[in-house]
Amino acid sequence: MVRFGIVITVFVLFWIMLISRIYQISIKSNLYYEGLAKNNIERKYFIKPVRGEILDRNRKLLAVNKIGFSIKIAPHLKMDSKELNQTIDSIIEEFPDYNRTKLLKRYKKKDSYYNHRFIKIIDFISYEDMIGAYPKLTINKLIKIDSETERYYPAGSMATHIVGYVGRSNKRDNSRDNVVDKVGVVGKTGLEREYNKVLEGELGYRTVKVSATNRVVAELEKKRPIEDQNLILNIDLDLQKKINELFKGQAGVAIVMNVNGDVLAAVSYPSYDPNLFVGGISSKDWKALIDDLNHPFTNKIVAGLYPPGSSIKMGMALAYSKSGKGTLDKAEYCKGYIKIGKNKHKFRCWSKWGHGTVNLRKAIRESCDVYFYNKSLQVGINDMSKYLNEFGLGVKTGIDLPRERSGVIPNKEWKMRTYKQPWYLGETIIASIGQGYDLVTPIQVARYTAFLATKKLPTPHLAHIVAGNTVKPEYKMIDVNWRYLDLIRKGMYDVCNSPRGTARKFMSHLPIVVAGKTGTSQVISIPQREKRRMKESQMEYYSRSHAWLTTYAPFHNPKYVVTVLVEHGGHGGSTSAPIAAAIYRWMYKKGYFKEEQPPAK
Amino acid sequence: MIDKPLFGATVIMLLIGLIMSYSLSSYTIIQHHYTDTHFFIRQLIAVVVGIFFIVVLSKLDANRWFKPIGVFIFLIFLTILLMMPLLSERFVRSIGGAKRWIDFGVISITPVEFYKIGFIMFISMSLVRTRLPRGTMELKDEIRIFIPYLVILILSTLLIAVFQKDLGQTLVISATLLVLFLLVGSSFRFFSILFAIGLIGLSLLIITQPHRIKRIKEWFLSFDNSANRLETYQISNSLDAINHGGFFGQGLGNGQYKLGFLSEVHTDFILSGIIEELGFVSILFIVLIMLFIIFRIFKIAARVDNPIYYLFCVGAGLLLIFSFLINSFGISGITPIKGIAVPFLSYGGSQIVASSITIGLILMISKEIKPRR
Repeated sequence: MVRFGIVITVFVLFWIMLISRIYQISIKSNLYYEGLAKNNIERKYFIKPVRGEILDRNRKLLAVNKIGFSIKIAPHLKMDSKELNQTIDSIIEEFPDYNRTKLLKRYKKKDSYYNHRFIKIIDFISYEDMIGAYPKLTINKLIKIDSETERYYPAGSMATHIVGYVGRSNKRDNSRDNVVDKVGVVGKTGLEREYNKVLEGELGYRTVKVSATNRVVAELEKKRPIEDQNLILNIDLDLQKKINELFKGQAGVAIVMNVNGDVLAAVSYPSYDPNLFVGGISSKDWKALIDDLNHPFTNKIVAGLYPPGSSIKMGMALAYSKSGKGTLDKAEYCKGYIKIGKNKHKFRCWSKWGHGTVNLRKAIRESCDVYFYNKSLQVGINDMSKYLNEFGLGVKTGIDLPRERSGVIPNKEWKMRTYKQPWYLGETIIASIGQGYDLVTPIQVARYTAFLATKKLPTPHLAHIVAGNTVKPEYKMIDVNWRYLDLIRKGMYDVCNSPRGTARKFMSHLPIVVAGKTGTSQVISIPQREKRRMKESQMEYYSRSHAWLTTYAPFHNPKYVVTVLVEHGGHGGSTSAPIAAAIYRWMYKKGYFKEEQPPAK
Repeated sequence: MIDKPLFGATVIMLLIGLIMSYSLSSYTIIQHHYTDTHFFIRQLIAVVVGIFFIVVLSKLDANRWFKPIGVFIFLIFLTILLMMPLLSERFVRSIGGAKRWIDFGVISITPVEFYKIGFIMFISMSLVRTRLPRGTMELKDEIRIFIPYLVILILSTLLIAVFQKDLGQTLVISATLLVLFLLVGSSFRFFSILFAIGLIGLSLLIITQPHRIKRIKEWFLSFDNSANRLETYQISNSLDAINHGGFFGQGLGNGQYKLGFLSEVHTDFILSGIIEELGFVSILFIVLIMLFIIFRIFKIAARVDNPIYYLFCVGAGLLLIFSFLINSFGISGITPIKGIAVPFLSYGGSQIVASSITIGLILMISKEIKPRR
C-alpha cells in the first residue's frame, strides 16, 4: 500500500504543521502579541485641560475661555431615518445659521459601528445663544449638549501683538507637542505662543477596558488634567488703550517699561482683532489686513527694524569712552560739516550753520552730528559696535515674545560676511549717528534707555506671574564711566527741558521731570511691491523719516522708560513727543509716579 | 463488536463543543438579547439527537441498512440542494446571497452537511465497481470511467460553491474525492491532471468573488506587522486570541476575544476561542482526539472486507480531516480563513447531527470486522 503510505505521510505533515504553527503563535511570539492584545482591549481617553487665561496687572482679562456649548447627536441613526431628520430639523430651527446638508455630512462622516459616543455636529454655541434653545433641545434624548470652551480676547485689538492668538494646530504643531495634538489648538503668536506649554496645561486621562465595539466595561485608571495655569502680565490694559487712542491716524510703536524690565505697555499700531483668527479668518478680512501699507501684522515692538538715528548718540558716546581711544572731554568744533578722504567728501551736520564749540552735554542736547563724526574717526567701527552690543543694541533683548529680531549694529566682519565688501571710512561716520546699516527694534531702544537711566541693562518681561510663579527681574550691570554717564543724562535732561532741547516743546511742562532723546531715521527705500500699491499722494508720506523719542522719568529717580516711534513722523520732537507727553500725563494721573509708601514696621 | 473507543472519543469531542458553546457565546447572547443558555440548549439538543443517531445506527445491521440509508440520504439532500436556489426566501435563509439554510420554522438545517455523507456513500458504492487494475490502464479509459463521478463533483461544486457560495465545503468534497480516486487506483498522471484542474477551478471560484479576493488580501496583510489591523480584523483577532491563551489558557470562561472581537467565535472560530480559554494544551488534546478518531476510522477501513465499507470509512475520515484542517489552518493564519465548521465542536445542529450520523454509520460498519484469531 504505497499510496496509502503517501497519503498518510502527507496528512501527518499537515498535522505537524498545524501544531507547530499554533505552538509558535501561542507561546513563541508572546511579547509581540501581548502588546497588540493590550491595545485591543484597553483604551486611553484623554481629558483635555482648560487653557490658562491671560490677565493684565490689574487682573483685567486679555485672553479668556468663552464658555458655551457643543451639540452632539446619538450615534447609529440611519441616514434617512425620521429620528435623525427630526433631530437635525429641531436644531436648525433654533440655530438657522447652520446648513442642514453640512450637519448631516458631518454626522455621516463620524458615525461608525465602533463609535458609541455622541457625535459632535456643532462645535461652539455661545451661552447667550444657547439659553433659549436649551430647554427645547434637551427634551430630545438623541441630542446631547456639552459644555465647551473657545478662546476669546476681550481686549480686541488693544493688545494683539503682546497676547497673540490661538488657532487650529497643524501637523507640525501636533507632532511636536502631545497636548496640542489632543486639544487641537495651539498658540500661534505672542504670549499665547511663547507660553503655550504653560497655558495649555497637561492632559489628564482615563484608562478603560472596552469590548470590541468600544463599549466601556471598567475604568482602570484616572488622572485629572493640570489646567487653568494663568498668566498675569505687567501690562496695564488701560494704558494700552490710551496709547492706541493716541496713535489714531498714525502708525508706530510705543513702549512703557519699568526700568527693572517690567513692560507696562507695548503697542504696535495699527493692530487687528485676534478674535478674527479663533474660528478661522475670512479671506476678505485677511486680504484687507495683509494689504495694509502700515503692516498691522508686523509686531513692530520686537520685529520692526528701524535705523536708531540720533537716539543712538548716548550709547555712542559711552562706547567712545569705553574704547579708551577718543576722549569725551575734548570738545569738537562744528562748522556744519566735515570733509574726509581724497575727494573731500562732505558729511553734513543736521544744522547747516553748525553748532560751534560742542562738548558732550551740548552734543546730546542739540544732537550735534559733527561731534560724533569726529570722534568716530578716532575710535573705529569695531569698538563702536562691540560696546553698543553690550548696551543692548543690535542684539535680542530676551523679551518673552516669539520671533524677536536682533537688528544690525555693523562692524567690518559683518559687512564682509553679508556683502563680501570691505568697510569704508564714510560708513563709520554715518554709523556714528545711527544711520547707514544700523537697524534696531523699539524694544532694544527702550531697554537701552533703561540702562542709561540706571546703569543696569534689564531683560524686558511681559509676564509677571506664570502659573503662580512670580518672574524675577533680571538685569546686567554695565560698567561705564560715571562722570560721562552723568553728563549724558544731563544732556538728555536738556533735550526735554532746556530752551534749546529738541523735544522741549511738548516735554517741558509735564508734572514730572523727563529726560530723553529724539531721533530721526531716514526711510532708505520703499519696497517695489508696496510702491505699486501706493497712490501718488501717499508716496510723500511713506518716504518721510521715522521719528524716535526715547525718554525716562523721573529724572532724579528713574522709574519708567517711555519709548515712542512714529513711522513717517518726520521729527521726533513734533510727532513722538506729544504721544510720550500724553503717556506721562496719564501715568501721573493714575498714580504711577507716587512715592511708594515705606514698608510697614 | 462496535468500536467503543471511537464512540468514546466522539462523545468527548461533542461534550467539549457543548461546553464551549455555553462559554463562547456569552457576548453574542447579550448582543442579540438572548437568554444565556440560548446556544447551549440548542447545542445540547443537537448533541442528544446526534448521540441518539450514533446509538441507533450502530445497532443496525450494516449489510441490510447501509445501502438504503446511503441512497436515501444522497437522493434526499441532492434534491434539496437542487431545489434550494429555486425555493422562496420564506424557506431558505440567505446571508449575503448565500442560500445555505432551509428554514423549517422550529429548526433550520444546513443540507450540505448531510449531502456530504450521502455523497461519500454514493461515491463508495459506485467506485467499488471500478476498482481498477492499477497502472495498466490508458488515460483515455481512466477518464471514461471517472467521468460520471466528475459530473457529480462538478454538479456539487456548482450547487455548493456557486449557489451556496460555500467554497469551504466544495474544497472538502473535492479533496476527498481526489484522494479517494488515488486510493481506488487511478494513475498518478490522472491524479495530477485532476489536481491541476482542481486548482484552476479553485482559482476561478476565488477571482470571480470579490469577498474571496479580499480574504486572500487580508491573509497576505496578516504577515505584515505594520498593516492596519482593521483590515486584517478577523485574522489578527484570531491570532491574538490564540496567543492570549498561552500554554494553559486564560481559564474556562475568561476569554477576552470572545467579547465581540472574534465574530462567530462559537462557530467558525471556536478553535481560537478554545485555545484562548484552555491554552495550547487544549488544542494538543483536541488534535490528539481527532487523530485518534481518524486512526480508529482508518483502522476499521483497513479491516473490513467489503470494499464499499472500506471506501466509505476512508472517505468519511477524509471529510473529517479536511474539515478540521481547512478550519484550523485558517484560524492559525497558515492559509486564508475559510468559514467551515469544525467537526463535533462548532455550534450548529446540522453539523453535529451529520457528523454523528457519519460516526454512527462507521460504528455500524465496525461490527462487520471479523475478530482476529
